[in-house]
Amino acid sequence: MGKDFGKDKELFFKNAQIYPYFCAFKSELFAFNMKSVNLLYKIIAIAFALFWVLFIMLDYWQKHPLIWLSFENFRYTGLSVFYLLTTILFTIGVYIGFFRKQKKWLTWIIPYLTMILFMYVSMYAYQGQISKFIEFDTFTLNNLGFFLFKVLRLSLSLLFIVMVCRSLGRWIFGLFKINGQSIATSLIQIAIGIATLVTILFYLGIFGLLRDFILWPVCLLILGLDYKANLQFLKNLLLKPIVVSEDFNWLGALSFSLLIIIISINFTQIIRPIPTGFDALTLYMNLPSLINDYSGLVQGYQPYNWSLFMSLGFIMFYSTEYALALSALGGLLSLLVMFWIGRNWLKLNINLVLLSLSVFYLMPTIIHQSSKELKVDLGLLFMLLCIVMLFLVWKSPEHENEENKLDKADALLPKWIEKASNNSLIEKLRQIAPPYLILLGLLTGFALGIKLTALFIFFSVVAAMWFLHAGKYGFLGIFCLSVFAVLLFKLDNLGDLRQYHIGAWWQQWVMLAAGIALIVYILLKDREKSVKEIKHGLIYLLFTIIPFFPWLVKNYSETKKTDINAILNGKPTGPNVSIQKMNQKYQNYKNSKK
Amino acid sequence: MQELKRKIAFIVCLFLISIINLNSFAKNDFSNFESELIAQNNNQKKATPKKNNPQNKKGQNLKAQQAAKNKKAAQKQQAKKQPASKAQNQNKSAQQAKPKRTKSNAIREEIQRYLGYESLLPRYLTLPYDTSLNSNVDGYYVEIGYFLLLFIPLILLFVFRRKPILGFTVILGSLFLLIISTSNGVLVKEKIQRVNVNQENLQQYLADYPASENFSGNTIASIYSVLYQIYQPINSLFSSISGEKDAVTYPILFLLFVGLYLMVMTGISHKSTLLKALVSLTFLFTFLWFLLAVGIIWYGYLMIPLTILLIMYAFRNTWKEDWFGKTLFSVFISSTIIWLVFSLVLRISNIYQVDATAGVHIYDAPVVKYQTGLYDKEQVIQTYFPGINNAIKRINRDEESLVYSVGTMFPFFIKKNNERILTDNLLAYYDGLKNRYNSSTEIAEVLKVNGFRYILVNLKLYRIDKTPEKSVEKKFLDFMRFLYQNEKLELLGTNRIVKVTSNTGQTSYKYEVFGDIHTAGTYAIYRIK
Repeated sequence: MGKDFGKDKELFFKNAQIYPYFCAFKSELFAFNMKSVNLLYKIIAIAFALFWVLFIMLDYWQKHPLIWLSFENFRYTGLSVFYLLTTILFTIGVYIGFFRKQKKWLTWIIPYLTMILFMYVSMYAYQGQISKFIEFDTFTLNNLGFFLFKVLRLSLSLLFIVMVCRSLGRWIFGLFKINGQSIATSLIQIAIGIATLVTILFYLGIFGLLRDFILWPVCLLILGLDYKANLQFLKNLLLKPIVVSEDFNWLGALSFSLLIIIISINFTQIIRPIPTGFDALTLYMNLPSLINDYSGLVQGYQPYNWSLFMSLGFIMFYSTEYALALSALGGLLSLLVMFWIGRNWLKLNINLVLLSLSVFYLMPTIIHQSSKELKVDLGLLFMLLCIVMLFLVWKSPEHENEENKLDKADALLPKWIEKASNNSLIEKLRQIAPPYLILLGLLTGFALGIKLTALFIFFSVVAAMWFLHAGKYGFLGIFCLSVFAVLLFKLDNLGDLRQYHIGAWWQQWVMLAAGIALIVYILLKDREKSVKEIKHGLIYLLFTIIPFFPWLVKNYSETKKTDINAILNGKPTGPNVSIQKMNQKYQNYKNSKK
Repeated sequence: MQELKRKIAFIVCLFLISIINLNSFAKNDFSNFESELIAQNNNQKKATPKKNNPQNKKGQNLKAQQAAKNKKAAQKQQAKKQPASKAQNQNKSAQQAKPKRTKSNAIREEIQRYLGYESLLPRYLTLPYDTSLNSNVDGYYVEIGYFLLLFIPLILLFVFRRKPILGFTVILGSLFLLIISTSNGVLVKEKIQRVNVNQENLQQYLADYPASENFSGNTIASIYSVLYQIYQPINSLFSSISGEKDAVTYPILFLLFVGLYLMVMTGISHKSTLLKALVSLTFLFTFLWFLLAVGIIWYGYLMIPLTILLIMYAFRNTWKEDWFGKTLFSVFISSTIIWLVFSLVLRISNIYQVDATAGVHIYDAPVVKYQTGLYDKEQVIQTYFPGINNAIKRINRDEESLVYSVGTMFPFFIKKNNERILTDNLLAYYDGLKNRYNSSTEIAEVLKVNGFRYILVNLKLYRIDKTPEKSVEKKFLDFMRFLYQNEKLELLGTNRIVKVTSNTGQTSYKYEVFGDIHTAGTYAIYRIK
C-alpha cells in the first residue's frame, strides 16, 4: 500500500524538507498496512480453507454412494475392534518405550507375523459373516495349515525373486563402481536387477527357452554366485532389529497399523487361482500365461517387460497366484521407495512418512491394482519412482564426491565382478558418461518397455536436469521443447483428441521457437555447462533407447514394416480377417454352392 | 570455407530428411495403450470397409477432397459456435458426432469417457476436479479420493502466507475451478443415478431432496445452483472461444501451466535447488499426464506418491507456526484421517452389489475355499462363472476354430487366444457386418464360413457407455437382436437365469439369455451351427 505514493509526491516531500518524517510515516504505514493485509489474508484463507474442505468432502460423500453404503452395511465391527485394539497396544508399546530400547526381538519378522495374524483373523471374521448366507463350514486345523503353507510359500518365492534381482543389480552397480550400501541403492539395485532379469528372459524367450528347467538353474546360479551378500541380506532382514525413531507417535502407529491391515487384506486376496478384472483377464495376466504356453515371446502386443517378469509365476512356480504376487510386488516396493524419499531425502518426520504411505496405499485405485485387477502399473510405478530416486541420489550434494568410487565396505561383491569392472570397455563407458546417467537411461528405457506412458518421465527428468543447470528458464525451455515433441509426434492422439485442436500444427512451431530461444539464451550465458547438459541429455536418450530397441526389432521382424504402429505393436493379434476378406470368402462359398 | 559449406549442406539435408521422417511418424498415433484398444484398433482396421478407410486415399478424386475440405471448414465454424454447458454440449456433440463407424468412434466411447464430453476447454480445465470426484467415470479402479484436490490449494495458501496477492490468486483460481467443474459435473440421485448439472435438474434435485430428508445432498445442490448461476457468463465466454473443436485450448493450458509453475517457484524460492528440481519434475510429469492421458489415472500414478510426499513436506512444520498454520494443520490431519477411515471401510465392506449380502465380501467365498484347500481351480471358475467350464473345454478342444468375443473377459481361459479370438469389444466390427448383410442368420453364416465357431458375449457391455449419444448401447441392442432366436446359433452356456411359466401356471427357472430375466448374469457363449 505504501508504494502507492507516486514519485512526484515523493519529490514534493523531499523538497519540503520533511523527508525524514515522510519516510518514517511511510514505513509505519506500510508495516501497518502489511500487517493488516496479512491478517486479512489469513482470516480469508482460513474461511476459504474451511469452505473448501467442507464442500469437497460433502460433494465427495454425495458422489460416492458406495462409501455411505459401506458404512450403512458395515458388518465387521468385531474385526475393526480387533484392529483398533492392536493399534492401541502398538501405540502404548511405543509410549512406554518398548520400541525405543531397540529390543533385539523387534525384527521384520514381527510385522510379517502380525500380517499373518491379521489374515487369519479377517478370514475368520469373513467366515462368520458369509456362513449366514451360504454354506461355509468352520475352518479345520488342516484348512488353516494349508493356508499358512500357501502364504509362506508365496512369501518365500517373492523373496527368492527379489534376492535374485538384487544380486543382478549389485553386479551391475559393481561393474560401474557405484557405492551400493544405502537403502536407496538397494532399491535401485532391485530395479536394475529386475530390468536385467527381464532382459535375460527376453533373449531366452526368442529361442523358446522360457522353461522351468532352464530358469531355476539360472536363478539358483545367480543366488549362489552372490551367496555372501545374500546371506548378509537374509541376516539383516530376519535378525537385525528395526530402529524406531524417537519421534514415533500415535499417528505413525495408526498409519503403520493401517498399512499392515491393508497389506494383509491385499495379500490374502491375491492367493487365487484365476485373476479378476477385464484388463487383467484379457491382457495383463493373459500375456504371462501365453508366454508360459509358448515358452517364449508372444507375437504382437506393445512391449511387455513387466509381463515377462510376471510370467515367472507361471513358468517357475506353476500357478497364477505367483504371477499375481509379482504384479503386486511393484506396489510394495513403491512403498519402500516412497519411504526413502520421504524419510531420507525430504527428512520428514517418521509419522508423516508413514501417513503418506498409508494415504497412498489405501487409495481405492491402488488397492484395486494391488488385489483385484493386477496389471503392470504398479510395476511401472516402482520403476518410475526408482528413476526419480536415482536422479535425486545422483544430484544430491553429498553424492558429488562419491561418484565413481567403489565402496570399500562392499567386500561381498564377487571377485569376478571387480575384475570385470576394470575391463577397458566398461572403463571407457564410465569415462564417456556418468554411471548414474547411464543407469537412469537404462531404467527409463526399461520402463518404456513396460508402458509407453513412461515417456512422460523422460521429458520430466531432462527438464529437471536443465532446471538444476539453468533454473526455471532451463526448465521452461525443456517444457517448450517437450510440448513441441508431443505435438509433432501427435502423442496427444491417445484419446483421438488431436482432431479437436485446430491450431496444434502452428502451436508446435511456436513452442519450438520458444524452446530454442530459451536454450540459446542459456547457452549464451554459460556455454560450457550448457554443452555438457546437452551432452548429458543425448546420452540419457541413447541409453533410454538401448533397452527399448530389442522390442522394436522383435516387432519389426514380425511385421516387416517400418511404420510406427507396426514397430510399437508388432503383429496384430487375433485372426487375420477383415470385412472385405470375410465377404469375399462368403461370396466364393455362395458361388460354389450354386 | 568449402568444408564449412559442405557441412552446412549436410546439416540442412539431414534436417530435411528428419522432418520428412517425422512427418511420416506423426501420421501414426499412440492410441493403443490399453488392452481393449489394442484389440479394438487391430480389428477396426480390418473392420473398416476400404471405401471408408481414411488411409486409403489413392482412389479419391480431387472433387471429393475439395468437398471434404469444405465440410471440415464448415464443421470448424459450427464447432466454434457451440455452447459449453455439459448437458447442452453433450446433446450437441451427440448430434455432431453422428456415429461414423470409424476408429475414432470407438476411442470416443472407450477412452474419452475418462475425460468427459463437455466442450474442449472445460473438458481439460475440469480434469483435476473430475478425476478426484469421479464426475466422468466412477468405480474403485479410478478412485483416488479427495486428498490431492483438497490439500494442493490449502498448501499453496500456506506457502503464500507472506505473499497475500499470490494467496488471493490461489483462492480465486480454486473458486474458478469449483465453478466450472460443478457446473459441468454430475449429481448422484437414488444412490446410483447420475444426472448432469443444469438448471432444470438442479431444481428437480432440490425438490426431490429437501434439507430435512437429505441435508448433505440438499446443501450441495444449493451451492451447485449458486455456482451454476455464476458460471453462466463464463459459459458464454467459453462458448465464444471454444466448442467441440478450437484453437485456444492448448495455448491456454500452456500459459496456465507456465503461470502456475512460476507462481509455485516464487513460493518456494528459498528452498534447496534439488527440492525445486523435484517439484519441477513432478509438475511436468503431471502436465504431460494432463495433456496426453485423457484423464486415465493409472497412466499418471507417479504424480500421486510424489504429490502426497510434497504435501506432507509442505505441512510438516505448519503446526509449529502461528494460529494460521496450526488451524491448517488440524484441518489437514483430521481430513486425512477421515479419508483413511473412508478408504478402509470402503475396502472392508467391498460393496459391488447392493443385496442382502452387501458389506460381507471382504473376500470372495470361492477364493477363501481355494486358499484353505476346500476348492480346486476348476471349482473356483465354476463358482464365478456357472456353466462355463464345459463351454470353455469345448472351445479349447476345438483348437483350430475361431472365436468372436464381444466384451468378455474369457481370453485368459482360451488356448492360443492371441491367434484365435477376434475381439470386438465395442461392436465396431459387428456394425460393419450388419451394414453389409440383412439378416441375422446370414451374419452367422458369414462368420461360420470364415472359420468362426463360437461367440462370447458380455451381457453387461452396455454399462461402459458414457457417451451422450449412447452409441454403445444402441449397437449392443442391435447385437442382442442378432442373437435373439437366431436359428444358426446354439447357446452353450450362460449365467443369466430367466423365469419360465408353464401353461399350468407353474414357475421354474433356467439358464437362458432371453425371457423374463430373474438373474441378469454376465456372459453367454454360443456355438455357430
